[in-house]
Amino acid sequence: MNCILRTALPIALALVSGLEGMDGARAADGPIAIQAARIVTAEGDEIAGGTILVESGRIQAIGNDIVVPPEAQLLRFPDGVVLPGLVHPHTTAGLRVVNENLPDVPYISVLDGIDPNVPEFRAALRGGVTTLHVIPGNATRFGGQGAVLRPVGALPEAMAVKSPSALKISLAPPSGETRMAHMAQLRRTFDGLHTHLTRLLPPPPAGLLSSRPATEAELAALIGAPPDWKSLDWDRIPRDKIEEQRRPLADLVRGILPAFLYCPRAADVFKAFELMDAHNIRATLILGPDGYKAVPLLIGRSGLGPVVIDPDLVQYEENPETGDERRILAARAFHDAGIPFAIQTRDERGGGRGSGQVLSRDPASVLWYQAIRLAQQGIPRADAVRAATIHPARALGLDHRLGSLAKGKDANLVVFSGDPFDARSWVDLVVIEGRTAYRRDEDPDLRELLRRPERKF
Amino acid sequence: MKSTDLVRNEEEPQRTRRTQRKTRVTSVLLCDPLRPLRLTLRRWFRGATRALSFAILAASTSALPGAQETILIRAARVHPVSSGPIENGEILVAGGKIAAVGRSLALPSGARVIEVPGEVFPGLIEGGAALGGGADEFRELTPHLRVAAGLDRDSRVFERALQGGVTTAAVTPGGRNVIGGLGVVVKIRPGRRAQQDVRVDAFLSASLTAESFAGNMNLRGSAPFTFYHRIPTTRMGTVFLLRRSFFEALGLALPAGLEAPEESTLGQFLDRSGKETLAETLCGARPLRVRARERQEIEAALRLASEFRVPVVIEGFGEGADSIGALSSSRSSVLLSPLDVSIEVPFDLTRPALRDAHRLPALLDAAGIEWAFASGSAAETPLLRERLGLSLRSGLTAGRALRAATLDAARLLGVSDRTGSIEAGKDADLVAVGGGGPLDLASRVEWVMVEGELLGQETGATR
Repeated sequence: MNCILRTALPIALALVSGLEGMDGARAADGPIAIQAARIVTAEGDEIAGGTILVESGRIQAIGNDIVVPPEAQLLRFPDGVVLPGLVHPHTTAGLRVVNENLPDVPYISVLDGIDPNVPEFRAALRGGVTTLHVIPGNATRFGGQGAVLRPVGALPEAMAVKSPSALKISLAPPSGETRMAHMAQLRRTFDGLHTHLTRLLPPPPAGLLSSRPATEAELAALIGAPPDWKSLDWDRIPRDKIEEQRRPLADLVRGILPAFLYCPRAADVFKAFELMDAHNIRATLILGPDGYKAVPLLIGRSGLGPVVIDPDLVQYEENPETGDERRILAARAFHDAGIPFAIQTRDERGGGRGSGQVLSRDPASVLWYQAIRLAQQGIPRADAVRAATIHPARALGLDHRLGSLAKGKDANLVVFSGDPFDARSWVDLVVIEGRTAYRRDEDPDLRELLRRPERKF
Repeated sequence: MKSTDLVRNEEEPQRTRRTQRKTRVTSVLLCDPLRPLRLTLRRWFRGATRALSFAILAASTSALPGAQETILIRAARVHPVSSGPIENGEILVAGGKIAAVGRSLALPSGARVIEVPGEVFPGLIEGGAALGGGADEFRELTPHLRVAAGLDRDSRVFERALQGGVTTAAVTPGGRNVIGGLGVVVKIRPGRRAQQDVRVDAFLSASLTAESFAGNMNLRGSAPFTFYHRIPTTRMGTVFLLRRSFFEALGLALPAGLEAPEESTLGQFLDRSGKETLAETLCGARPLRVRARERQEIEAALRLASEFRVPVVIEGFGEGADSIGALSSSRSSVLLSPLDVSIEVPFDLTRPALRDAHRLPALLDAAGIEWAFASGSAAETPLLRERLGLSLRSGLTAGRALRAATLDAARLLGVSDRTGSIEAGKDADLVAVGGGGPLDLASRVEWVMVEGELLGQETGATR
């Protein structure tokens, strides 16, 4: 029953809320044509003075000589620059409490905790973010399942693009626990899962049962060996018989559900690889402040998608012997090594309890600002754009739909009033899946703030 | 009460600021039995400060490694700030000073040439941040404590600030005390070398923000004899303490209600040196700074300014849009926080008065009030240039913001004879950035020069 509810309810809710449409979206789903001074496609070449034709939620055409059908709503931005909607790969926006108290909660889902009415989602639109990957925090072991959301919609289920998106696994030991114990506990959980799953397999036909007892050598090999997930006959394990609390872990080792694996220290990256190899885990690595030290390790790893780097893009490292400090352009280290990376924001809520502030006033909590800071480190602007669009989309396994502007992709785009790397530019328009989700000239708060000053200065 | 009336006497409007100040001081001193001692002390104190400043100045201009070199800087654009930008400009640096600025300067023999594909502007000036100077919490009123006496000049904060293009900083005491102490203006030198004081005891810092009473406890039911008893515990208390110390320092008979019991620790608001320092300051020896961000704090600060006829420098001022009239009549000035001026994407609409924060530069300019930027904390100082870049979102022009963070700040700190613009005779404090302009967020600081000494920035991922 529970299971049916879990599947059916979101679908029903999505249907209901889908009818009323997205917040602020136009009622009609008709074609839109957007003309701007520049179109930054993120994957292909930049288009000067081009047009994007959007219909049925998809990009129908993009280029310089697009014939705009007469029924299309034409939006002209003579100074505007179009970018793919920004994709935030790792955030807790919408969650009030981001970590569960228990260390192993793979079965919880952010969809149960998200409040669609928090100002973070409005701020995301204002900052040109069309996709947010909301996932529990880093303070647990198996932290729960995330969801990819669009920042519009009255219900979490209506906001969801993909759910569950990934399982959060953290290699940061909780306070009072050592790294050794933390890793041991992780392995034990997988061993327990394996035992559980093998017990669910139907017993082999009687004739095939070995008539002799196992030899000592055979037993020893069984005890020391890590669980062999690949040889597990998944088709013969009835899914509904898997304990519900272990089901996400089963999906993880089966390769259905990817992981977002938090490595607080560069040294944890090796442990992450060990875990991924031993348990057949597809994972996106979330790196900590000294993540740039793992660059050599990351270069040697094949099949690894983009990594999510620490929001503090500049790091200071002290030489403990001389006391001298080095300033490290952390993002630059990844770029120089050719490792694709996605940027995230500093996830600080509000500036402390009781400050009366709803949102963080830290600019590093804004994705476009983080992208500009990449350019400041000498990273080419096209690559800086990729770190906030196609790379995070790829990390989420949604690069076929999101993260770049190309024919057939989801019509998620943002129009900046000017050069997006100029802090004076504003987000003028956000389109999500073909619908207008935000317009600056209809943003009441901004209108209030940007009243003309009395005097030109 | 009589003496209060004396202070409150209306002054003739045509008098200059200086005469006004003298009149007030004299009238205050008339009722002061310790007047001769006071005058002597004050004279001695001023002399000593001046001598000290000169000594430090003299010591600092002596030979520095690299500072004697003659350098010609050629840049695509030079922003002298004191005048309009110069395309393909040149700056001649000799002996750590700017020898000339203009176009097609003669290249002296043996001069080193630095080509800058981008732009060069004066080193940025941090108008005020607690860069390592805390507040001594033994007392709430410590006007005589000197930041210069306890500053960690090798602190990393300075190097980080320098990497961000900040070459001069006003170091304030922390904001935990109602009167925190005397600030110092320092020049930042490359390579973790001792910072140099440009102006010691440059200003007196007071604080009316919630920080000055936050966490203070009223130990109910026990006598306030322990170290842990700390007043004030409310904003009212903060204002009370500040006002009372003004009366005390000026030797005024305290109005009814302000006397404190003799034997109580609460009675010892200011000791003698504290009174001296505060009196000096109120008499115009140095600016009085008051931290005030919220509207009620700003109003309280300006009430004190008009009551005691002393101009104040308000640090913060985020919610001050409605207080500009009072500000201008008390001849006060302002140090704005770049974060309040900018409209961050997640901006703060929860406090109505903050909604006008981004218009403050325009409002202050229209009222002819001096203002500059102060970022307030050690974490923010290295980011000053970036924060200013974000401030441009509200319509503030890059040129105006740059002037506020250089020349105007230098004037406010009293160091414009040394730094703040690219003019012949001033120190060679320069910053070079890539092409997008001084406050462009996407271009980075290429190098920083302080008095002819060069700090190059990282070329790859590390410096």
